[in-house]
Amino acid sequence: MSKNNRNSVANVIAVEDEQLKLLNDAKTKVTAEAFQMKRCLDNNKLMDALKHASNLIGQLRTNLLSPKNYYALYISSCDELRHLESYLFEEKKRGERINKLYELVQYAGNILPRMYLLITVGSVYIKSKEAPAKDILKDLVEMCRGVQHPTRGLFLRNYLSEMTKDKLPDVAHEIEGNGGSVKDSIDFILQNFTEMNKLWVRMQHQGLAKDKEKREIERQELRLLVGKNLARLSQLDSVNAEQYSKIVLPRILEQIVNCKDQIAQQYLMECIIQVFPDEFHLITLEKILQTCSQLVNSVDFKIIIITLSDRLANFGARSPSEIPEGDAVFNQIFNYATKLIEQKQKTPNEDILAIQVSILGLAIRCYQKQFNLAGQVLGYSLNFLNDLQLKEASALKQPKIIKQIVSLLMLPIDSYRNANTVLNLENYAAIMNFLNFETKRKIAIALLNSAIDFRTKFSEIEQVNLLMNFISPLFKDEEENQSNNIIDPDQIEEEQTLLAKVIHLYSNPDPEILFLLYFTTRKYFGQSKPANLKYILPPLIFAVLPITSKILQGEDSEKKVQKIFKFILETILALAKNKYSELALRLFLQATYVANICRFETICYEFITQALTIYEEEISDSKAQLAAITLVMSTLEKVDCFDTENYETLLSKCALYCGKLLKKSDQTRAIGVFSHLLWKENYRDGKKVLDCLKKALRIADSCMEYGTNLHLFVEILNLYIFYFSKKNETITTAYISSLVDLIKTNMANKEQEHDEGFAKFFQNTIEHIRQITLS
Amino acid sequence: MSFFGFSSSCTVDIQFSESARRLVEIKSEGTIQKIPLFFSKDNVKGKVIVNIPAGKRIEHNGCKLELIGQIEMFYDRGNHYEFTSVVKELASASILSSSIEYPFEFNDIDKQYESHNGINVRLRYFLRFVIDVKKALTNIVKESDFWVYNHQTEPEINNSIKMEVGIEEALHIEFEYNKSKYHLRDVVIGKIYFLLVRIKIKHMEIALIRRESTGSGPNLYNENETLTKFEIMDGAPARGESIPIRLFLSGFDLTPTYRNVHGKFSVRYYLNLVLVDEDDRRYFKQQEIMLWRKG
Repeated sequence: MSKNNRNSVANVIAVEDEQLKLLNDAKTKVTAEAFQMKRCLDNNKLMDALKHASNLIGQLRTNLLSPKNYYALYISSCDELRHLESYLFEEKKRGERINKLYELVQYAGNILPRMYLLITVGSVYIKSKEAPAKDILKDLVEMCRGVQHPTRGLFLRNYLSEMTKDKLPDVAHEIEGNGGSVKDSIDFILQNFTEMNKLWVRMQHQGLAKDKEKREIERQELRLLVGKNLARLSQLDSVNAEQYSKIVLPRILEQIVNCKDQIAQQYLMECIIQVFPDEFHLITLEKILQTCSQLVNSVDFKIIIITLSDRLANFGARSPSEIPEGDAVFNQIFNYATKLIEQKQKTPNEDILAIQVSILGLAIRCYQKQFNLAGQVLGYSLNFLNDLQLKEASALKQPKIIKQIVSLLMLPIDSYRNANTVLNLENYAAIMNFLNFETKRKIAIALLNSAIDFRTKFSEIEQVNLLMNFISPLFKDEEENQSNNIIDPDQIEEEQTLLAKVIHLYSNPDPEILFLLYFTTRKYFGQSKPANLKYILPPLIFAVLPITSKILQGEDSEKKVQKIFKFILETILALAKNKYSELALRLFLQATYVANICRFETICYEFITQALTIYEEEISDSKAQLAAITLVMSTLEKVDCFDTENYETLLSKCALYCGKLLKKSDQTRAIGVFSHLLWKENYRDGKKVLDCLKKALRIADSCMEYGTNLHLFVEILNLYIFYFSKKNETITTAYISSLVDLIKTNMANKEQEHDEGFAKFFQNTIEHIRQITLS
Repeated sequence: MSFFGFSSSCTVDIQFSESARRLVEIKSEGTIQKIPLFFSKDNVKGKVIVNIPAGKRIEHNGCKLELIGQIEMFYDRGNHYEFTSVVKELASASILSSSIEYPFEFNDIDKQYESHNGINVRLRYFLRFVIDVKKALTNIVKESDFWVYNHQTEPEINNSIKMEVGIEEALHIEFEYNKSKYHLRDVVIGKIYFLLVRIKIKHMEIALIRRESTGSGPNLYNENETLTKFEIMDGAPARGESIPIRLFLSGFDLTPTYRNVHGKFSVRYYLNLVLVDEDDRRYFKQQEIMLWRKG
């Protein structure tokens, strides 16, 4: 820190200390005079009390306090003056005439105490109704002109405003009528407002140029005093829209324009928009917008337009019937905003976009059914972005610009809650192109989430095309991104799940069109990275499979269904090709099952062959093999469209694969499952079943491991029982009892080793046998 | 009351009739006196009561009562100008041996000037009762003051005062007082319009000044008295501002304007508009206003 700086910091501290001391001194004096004043009031010595009151107010004549500290002093002085006011009010009730006092206080030699006293007495004078309120108000506001010092004047007029706020003639107010009309109140407040604003603006031009910054901070601290007048106007009950637009607003705007001061214009324009009701704004929109072009250049018109547009947007969303028919409100704001943007050459790019975001909100929220308006805003933004890309492409990489583009895209998603509506907006999708890959993905995810949350139905091919193009960043890499796509796998899974979910939102009563939707989707998914296929293709297949039986109900359907199965075949092969073997195998089996329902034997045979091929070529893990062959056989058990030749070919394949399993226990169990293929509705061979079970038993016996071995015996025993109960005559009780004996003997040999679960299993089985034989 | 050793010989009291007559409070030399008030056309009635202590007697050549209006200049003591003097003989030569009352009545005497207690000059009315005592060095004299006000009729012409003044390139103002002639309980209403402001004004006040002029030529004395300083503006106005003036006169001890009292003195009133800048330089414009006493 340089020496100079240190000095200036020391200075600041010294100044603040000094301020505090001045404030405390002044407050002490105020308290002392107030004490004397109250004592005099208690003794009914009004003249003396007024003298002390005048001394008390005299403290406010100081030049030395900063606005903040002056405010503190003002507040404590006003608190004390309230005692005087209530005393005077009591006097009035006792029948004292206040007009004498109103003259008396005007003898005070100094203007500031004189005016504070006059206002205090004046407020009681209005209540006394000795004279019309309007005359007193007019007199007070006129006499305040004598105080031209900005700070002192502002606070004095604030005192005037505070003391009279409950005494303004208004409808349903006791003072209305002879006391004046609301017109007088309007005049009064407007005059006070105008004068206060002039004083406030004048602060800017006082003092040294180097203190400009400090002065501006001080002015900002005082702005509420000026703005309060506008709030006061808005609180007058009987000001209707017409009076507002013909009397109130023009005079406020006139003052705003004439003061030619940036801080005042900025603040007061926002203030108008905030304090007056939306219904009024609708009527006076033109005036307010027109004023924007008359403000000094440094005023940030963006904030004004946005505040206005946001307010009307919220209003339109709350009470849509209040927004005039047609698009007048939108057009006014949109046209003025674009005109202002052209007029003020130096408007920052992000501000221009921010304005469009706000107006887009207006278009969406106020005009739910006029999508062309939102399209118009998006069109403007699109042109702007195109220009920007030509002139200053680097700007598009700035976070503040990106933020606004994102808002442009997110706003329709969040507001319409219908992805189709959003995607159909003119110029919408094109704006997405100005974003980088990562951001595009975020927008796409938001759109998908919205579609899922609000159950948007996609029923036309065009809709699917729009959707797929828009969300393509989620499944398709962009060139720019190929080198550095390190994305968290959890995140990928989450995103791909969204894609899977959106497929289920497709709907169309015509199954052929529905198929086309999926067919179209498949083409887009074809561009997907192989790694993502496992997430997005299965739901597609599961969505398409049920369509087959629906189409079959129609006429001339065979070819159509064949086409669908071909689509399924190719889709599953795509997975198989990308080494999702187990998945492909299962999908083939599912397809087999569906083809069987459709009675398409050839296709059915093709699917199961595909499954077996995958089994043969791709599945090598023993556990996976067992699971796969079990599934193949289960499927086959349910399929009944094959002729015997085909069926036996498949049977022999299955038997072969069962026998080739690595572990004996697996073989045993697989053969057990296989036995069911020999004992079904359209293919029944008791002898082969028996052979099959015997083979299983033999292999189980060769199983060295004691526990497994016994367990397998019981499993086979259960199969025997099953076929016995199914009246397979080759299975006799003799087989069953000898197998039970075998198990018992084995158990007796190694009694200590078998576990409880097994014992229970066996016991239950025995129990089961007993029941069957009894029945 | 004592007169050179004859104190015990008698006491004299002059009583004005109409005991309910209004009294005015007159400050002179630090004391406040209450003096009966007459208007210019009023008759002056009353009685003189001479109390003679028992056993005393006064032989005299006659008793008279004079009504005198006179102007006294303080720098010229002893030299009085009597502008009115009326004598009434109350008794011819005789001997007073007991108390006696003399009623008196001065009718139709025009008291054209108002009483005045100024800085350098005094205009007074009084009654002087004189017993011309035989064989004595001095007479028995008793004086009693009364005060005179003069109601005026409302001036027929009473224009406002309007004036544009300024310092070239620095300050240009226009001020207006609603009248040029104000009665003593009147209110001065006016406004000041700032046409050009290039100096940093701190505040503005209006002063009410009384100027008493006495004598003439080399002996001319002017006494200016500021009766009030009344701040009418705090802070610096911008161009185009107009500042209101409202000054209630009834709170001040004022007299009507006396333009020329018997060629001896005058009392005039001025409103002095003063602007003070941040360096405490004062810019002012003085303007006479006429005060009159409303009936």
